[in-house]
Amino acid sequence: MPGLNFDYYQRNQFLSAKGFGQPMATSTGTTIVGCKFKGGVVIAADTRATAGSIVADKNCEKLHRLAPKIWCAGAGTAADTEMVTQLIASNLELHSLAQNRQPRVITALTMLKQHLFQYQGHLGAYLIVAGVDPTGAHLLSVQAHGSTDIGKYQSLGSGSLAAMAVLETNFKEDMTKEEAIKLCADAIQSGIWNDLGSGSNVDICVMEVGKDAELYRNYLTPNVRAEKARSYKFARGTTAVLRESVRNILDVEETVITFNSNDAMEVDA
Amino acid sequence: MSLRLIPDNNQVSSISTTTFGEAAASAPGLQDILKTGEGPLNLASKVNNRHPLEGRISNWEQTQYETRLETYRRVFGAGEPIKRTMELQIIESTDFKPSLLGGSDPLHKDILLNRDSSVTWEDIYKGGFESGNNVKDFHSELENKVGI
Repeated sequence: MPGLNFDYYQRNQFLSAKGFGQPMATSTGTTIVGCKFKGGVVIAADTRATAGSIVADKNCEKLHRLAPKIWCAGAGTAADTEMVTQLIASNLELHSLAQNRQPRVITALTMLKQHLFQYQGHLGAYLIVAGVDPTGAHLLSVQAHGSTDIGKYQSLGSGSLAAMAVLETNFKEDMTKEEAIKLCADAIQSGIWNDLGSGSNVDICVMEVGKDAELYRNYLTPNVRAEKARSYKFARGTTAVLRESVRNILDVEETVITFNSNDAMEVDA
Repeated sequence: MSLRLIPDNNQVSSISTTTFGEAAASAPGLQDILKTGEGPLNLASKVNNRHPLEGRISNWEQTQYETRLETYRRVFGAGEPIKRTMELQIIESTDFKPSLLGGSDPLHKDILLNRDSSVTWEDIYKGGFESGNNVKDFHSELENKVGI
C-alpha cells in the first residue's frame, strides 16, 4: 500500500511472541525547552540520543527548521520527529509559496497536530514549535496524540521536570535576549545533569522579531571527554618485521604510442 | 448522509473467497494465483490481527472527502457534490497508464482535490512497481478498466 506501510505488523507480532524482540527505536530521551522574551522566542535542547540504555548519538541535532524563522525542538522517537518535521517543513514551504506570504507558526502547528492526530499517537513526536511571523513571536507545543499548548515557557521530554523546575523558579516577563538564553541553557543543563535520557551538549536557537533566526549549535559543551592520561600510540619500530615479500597483482607493460602530427586532430583514427 | 471526521471501523463481519482477489477461471473457489503470482491467500491474515491504524489511514482521505462533499451539499445544494464527482470521474475514465510504467500522472486529480501544494507519505512512499511491489499486469488492468 502507498504511504506508511503496515505489511509487517503480523510478522512482527509473531516474532515477538516467539521471543525475537523488536529492535529498540532510537529515542531522543531528551530535555527540550522554549522561552519567550521581549521581542522574540528562544528554544534549546540537549544532544543525546538513546537506544534503550545505550547512548546512540552523543551529539545529535534536535532543533529542526520548519521555515527560516520557525524552528522546532523534538522529543520522542528520533525518526518520527525528524521525518514528521521534514514533511511539515515541505508542506509549509509549498503553502507559503502558494499563498505568497511568510509562513506562520500556527500554520505549522495546525499541520503538525492534524497529521499526528491522524496517526493516533503511533508517531511518537513531541515537539516544541517556536518562531516569528508577521503576527509576532510564538511558542507552542504539540504532543504525539495531537494536543497542543500555548505558553510563555515550555519543556518536554524525559528531563522536562528538571528543566521546568529551573524555568518556574527563574522565569520573568519581558526578559532580555541574554537573560532568556541563560535561562534556557540553565534549564537544559539541569536536564543534562539530572536525567539519564539527556546529556552531552546544549543547542540553542534564537528567533527575534525583525531579524534572522540564529542557531547556536553546541552553545555549551559541559561534557567534553577528559584527556587520556598517557599517549597510547605505538612508536615506529615497535613491531619487528621478520620477512617481506612483494607480489605484483598486475603485470605492468609500458609501450610508447606515437601520434602523427598531420592527423593529430582526427577524432576516429 | 453523515459528517465524519474519523473513518468508521471497517472490520468486516463476513467475507467471501473473492473479497481479496479475483477468482481463478478454472477454480472459482480460489484466488487466481497464476495471475497475481503471490501464492495461496491466507484469508484469516487479511481479516484478523491487523494494525489498529491500518483501516484508519487507508480510509482517511476518502472520509474527509465525503464529509467535505456532504458539507457542500448542505450549504450550496446537491449540484455542488454532483459536479465535483463528475469532474473526478471524467479524469478517471480518460486517464490510463499501466501500473508497470508507474501509473497515470496524478496532476489532474491533485488539482481537483486541492493536493497540488502539499506532500504526503503517499508521494514519498509510492508503493507501486518501483518500490518492488507486485502490481497487476497490463492486460488484467486494462480489462478491469474497460469492464471486460
